[in-house]
Formats: sequence, C-alpha cells, structure tokens
Amino acid sequence: MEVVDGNIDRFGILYERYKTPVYGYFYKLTSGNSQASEDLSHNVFFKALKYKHSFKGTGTFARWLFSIAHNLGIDYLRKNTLYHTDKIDPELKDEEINGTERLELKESKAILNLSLNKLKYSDREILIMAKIRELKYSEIAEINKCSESAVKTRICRALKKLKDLYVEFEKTSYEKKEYYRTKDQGSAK
Amino acid sequence: MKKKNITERKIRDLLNDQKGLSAEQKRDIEEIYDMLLNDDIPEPPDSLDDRFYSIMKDKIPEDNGNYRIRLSGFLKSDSFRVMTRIAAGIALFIIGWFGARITDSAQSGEKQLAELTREVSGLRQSLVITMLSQDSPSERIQAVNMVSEMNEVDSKIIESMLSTLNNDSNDNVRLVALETLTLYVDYPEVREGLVKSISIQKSPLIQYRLAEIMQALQEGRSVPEFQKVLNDITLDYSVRERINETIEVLL
Amino acid sequence: MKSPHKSRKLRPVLISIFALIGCCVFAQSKDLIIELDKGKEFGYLQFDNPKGSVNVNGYEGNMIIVTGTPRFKDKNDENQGAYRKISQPRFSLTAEEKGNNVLLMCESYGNTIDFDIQVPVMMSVKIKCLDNGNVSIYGIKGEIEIDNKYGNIFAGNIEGSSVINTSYGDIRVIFKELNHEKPSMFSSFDGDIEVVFPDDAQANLKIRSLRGEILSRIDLETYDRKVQMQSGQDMKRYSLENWTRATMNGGGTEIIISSYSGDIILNHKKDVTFQ
Repeated sequence: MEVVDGNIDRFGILYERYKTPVYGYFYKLTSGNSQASEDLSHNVFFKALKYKHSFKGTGTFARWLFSIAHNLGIDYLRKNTLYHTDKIDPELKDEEINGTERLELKESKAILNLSLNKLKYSDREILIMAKIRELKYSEIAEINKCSESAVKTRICRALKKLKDLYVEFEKTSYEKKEYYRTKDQGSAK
Repeated sequence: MKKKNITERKIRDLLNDQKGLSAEQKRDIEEIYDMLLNDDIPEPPDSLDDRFYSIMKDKIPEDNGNYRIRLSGFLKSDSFRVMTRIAAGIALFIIGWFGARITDSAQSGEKQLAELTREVSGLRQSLVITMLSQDSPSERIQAVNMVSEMNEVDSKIIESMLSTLNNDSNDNVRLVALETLTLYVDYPEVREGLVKSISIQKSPLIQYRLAEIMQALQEGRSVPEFQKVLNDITLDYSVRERINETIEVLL
Repeated sequence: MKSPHKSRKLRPVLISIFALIGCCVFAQSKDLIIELDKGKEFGYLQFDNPKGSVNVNGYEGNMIIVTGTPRFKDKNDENQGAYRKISQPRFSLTAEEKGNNVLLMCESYGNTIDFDIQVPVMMSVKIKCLDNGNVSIYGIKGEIEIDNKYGNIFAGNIEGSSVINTSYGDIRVIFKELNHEKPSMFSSFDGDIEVVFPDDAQANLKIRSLRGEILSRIDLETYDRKVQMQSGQDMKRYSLENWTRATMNGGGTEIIISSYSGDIILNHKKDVTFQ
C-alpha cells in the first residue's frame, strides 16, 4: 500500500526505485532507442502519477506500474513498426583486436541483443519482462492476462527461439571473422 | 554472489513446471536465460529525472479522484474566474478568521471552523452552478457528478438540479441530473420537483426512469401527471406499458 | 442555460458557391465554405438537420466546407408541356460565425437533405438530427455532442469527450485515444451501444441497460458502490447503486453508458476490424 494515500512525496521515492527497470524495459524493447525509451518511461510515470488514486492496492505497485508500461509499449508498437531491426550494438567493432576476452564478452552481448531484436514483439516483450527483477511470474501472468503456467511456457518457447537465433548469429559472426582473418593472412603473404 | 542466487532461483522456478523438455533442451534454456538475466540494462538519462520532477511540481492535488482539473484548460474557463473571485473572498475570510482567533477564546474557535467549512462548501456549490451553465455538456455532467458526491445539499443546489432536469438542452445531462436527484428523494422539495417534472419530459429513457422511481417511492401524486403523459400519442410503447404498470400499482 | 446564439450580436457570413450538377437528373448540391480565423482557437460547429443525414470529417485545415445534397429527386423536375421547369432551391444554407464558433442553419422546407461537412480536426461539433438519417463523425479531436432521435450515430477515431444520445438508433464509438479529462456519455433507448477503446485505455465505467445485456471483451474490474441517500435528517439510508461500475486498466476517464433495451458492447481496438 505504498501509494494509496496519495502522498505525492512518496511517489518521488517510488519513481527513484522504478525508473531504471522501467527505462531498461523500454530500452530493450525498442532495440536501444534511447529517445523513445525516455519518452515512454516518462509517459509511464506521468500516467501513474495522474491515476495513482486508482491503484487499489490489489497486487503490488510494480505490477500496476509495469502493466501501464506494457500497454504503452503495445501502443508504441502500433505507431512504429518495431518488429525487426538489424541494428548492431555500436560498441562492437569488427576491427578491434586489443583485449580479445573483452571483445568476446562484448560480442556475445552484441549477438544476444541482435537475436533479441530479431524476435517478434510479443516474444521479445515477455522475455524483457521476465528480466525485470521486481516482477514475479504470477504478476507477469496478470499483466498478460493469462495463467502463470501459460506465461512460463511462453517464456520457455521464446527462450528457445532466442537460443536458435543466437546460435545462428554466432555462426555467421564466426564465419565473418574467419573470412577476414584468412583474407588478412592472404594479403600478408 | 547474491545476484547469482536470484537468477538461479528464477531459472529454476521457470523450468520446474515445464514437462516434456529433454535435459538438453533444459540446459539450452538455462544458458540463454542466464545470459539474458545477466545482461545489463543502461541507466536512464538525467533528462528523464528533469521531466519527472517538473511534472511533480505542477501537480494539482486531486479531489476524490473524481473531479480533476487540468490547469491549462481550467484557466480559460469561466469556472476559473469565479473560483479566483471566491478564492480571494475565502483568503480574506481566512485572514479574518486567524485574526479573530487570536482575540477570541477557544470555544468560539469551533464555531468558526464550522463557518469556514460552510464557506468552503459554498465555494463548491458556486462552482457547480457555474459549470451548469457551460456550453460543454461534458462539463455539465461533471457538475452533476459533483453534486452526487456532496454530503449535504441546500435548496439552491436542489433547485439547480431540478432546473437542469427540466431545462437542459441535452438529454444525457438531464438523465444524470435525474439519477443524482434520486439520492435526495427524502427531501420533500425533491419529490415535489420530480413529480412536477413528469409531464415535461420527452426523452423515453427519462420517462421510463421516472415511472420506476415513482413506483418505488409509492408516490401517489405522480398518477395525474403520468396520465397527462399517456395522452401524448407519440409516447413510446415500452414507456407506455411501464407507466401503466406504475399507475396500476399506485392506485 | 446560456443559449449561445441568442445573446450575441450576429454577423452573418455568407460565402456560397452554387454547384449545379448535370441537368435535372441529379438533385442540386450546394456548397458553403466558411473560413475560420487562423489567429483564434477553434470553437464549435453547431448544426441542426431535421431530415437527413450528417457526415462530419475532420481534416487539417482551417475552413469549414459544407455540402448539402437533397436525397430524393424532385418530382416536379419534369417539364410541363412547352414550359421548361426552372428548378428552385430545395434548401438554403446560412452560417453565422463569431470568434470561430459557427452556427450552421438550413431551411429545407420539409425536404430530406444529406450533409457532408469537413471541419478542422480541432473543432468541437454539436449536431442534432431528427429523422431519415444517420450521423457520422470521423477524426475530430474536439468535443462532440450528438443527438439523433431516430437514426444511428457513428463516431470514429475521436479523442475528445463525447456526449451522444439517440432514442431508437444504434451508437458506435471508436476512440482513437482516451485521455480526456471530462466524462463522456452515451445513451440510447432501444438501440445497441458499442464502444471501442484503445488497447491501453484507462477508464471508469458507469453502465446500465435496463433490459439489455452488457457484453465485454475487455477485462473489467466491477465493484459495487453503496450510496448514502441524503435526507437532511438524522436517519441515514443506504442503498446499492443502480449502475454497474467497473474500472478498465486501473481507471481513468469517466464513461457513462445507459440504455433501456439495447445491449452495451465493449471492445478493444484489436478485437474489431474496421471498414
């Protein structure tokens, strides 16, 4: 019952606590579009502030807040085709050879994000929601209006697809690296 | 270390209920899920904070969550002008009240608090009456809603509700006025007003509701009024049936 | 109740373009174009059409373009012997404009005239029809007030608060957005009322159908509200309200829907297909 008494100051505390997961949710959902993520995050808290009196205390505040976020995400989807993007993590540079281990970590992160972006919206969304520490599976189920076991099944299926994509991209990336490596060797001779 | 425990538990929790997955499939899911859960999310930019705290500053406290005033639209409306005048009056009153409180004894403080409460509810009533004369039917509906939230009403408010019921150009506004008036049927002037309204109403929904209400109230005085309505040949058939039923019960 | 057009000094603005179509086969259409003041805020358009339909479409611009078309061929259009009949106008259109509020008037001499009106999206509209026609509003962001006693009412892609009522027609409303502060209300005596909400819409619903059903594809949280009857006396009386109250997505804009025998149908945008 953190916010039911309508105390505005307390709402600030809740903002500080949830701003990062909310922003992160949209950041992953929009494939790294920081402006859109900021706008969407702002809208979530604006709406939450406006309708805070309607939070009846059934369920946690996190569930209520992410329910708003979930719906705003769908709305954003409708306005911007957001299914696929081939945008590569800008931090990854093919040519970087210093610190191979760091590169590998960055690379795997890049491949993971690439794979995530290739998923269709509903799969990506449920995985990102699963990522949120503050949400239990039962709460994700409530937001998506289905049973807890259904949500878990959906997550598993989405993870399987993510894995398949990851493997695919990893192979492509390796092949690309091999190509450049042999090319370099060839030119060095 | 703690972080790892949480993710481990989350992964375990997910896979526990899943039947029909081979060990290899489970392992695949575990690996990718672990990667996903450990993937960092960025911190939100400072501009998000700026935007949030600026709307916090502008936020106007809500009244029962039922009647919300948006500042920009409100400033342009007539209600605002009335409110500023009344607010100025109240401000003066409050200043006078504080001044009086210093000189008076503690006993009369209670009386003055009651006066202040009356003054504030008077503000609400003036606002309702102003809103009832707005062009926008939506605002008039809001005004009627406000009346239904009030704890007590005076004859001025009752008069305004009856006037709305009888004269408002919009059927919907009249309908909500009727519904609000049903909260006050124990006031004799409301009952009288409703009875008098019967022969004036032309909207079938309102006529139907009046028939229901009069029957529930066992209000015999409504019978001659309903009989006037029955003379109208354009009266809706379902409404006619309902009125006949009411008349039968009340006679 | 303040009557907007009575207390003002009226300054009729009449810019009309007569468009004669063909020779007597089709009824004559007339256009009326009203240019609004760019500097001022958009007001409302008020129009009463006793017989015929009214279609209003919002567009990006600042003119109001009204086209009236008589629906039925005038029996008297045939020639009489050697005489060629000269058609007389079957209706006249005038508009009074003050501060971007427009009062449109039509004298139709008992004829059924259908109107197509283009208005700037930000305008509010107030339309009243009686018989022989439906009212359809599309793409308006301002407030909407419609009364069509015998016909149907359709309001699509709207955003502002709407107060709509009909006695015998059906109502279909499709909200593009639902974030307006003021309440909306829809009522019909015998007709069905369908309201389509944006998928993330947040609303507080107050619904009642005396003889019809309330059907919803949207998940709603219903609750009972006990009201205290006021009497100004010591005794307090309580009763359960007649309305069915519900919240959608946590609550928000107030929507009131009332019908006698019609069904009330609530859908999300994703549940319906549009023409």
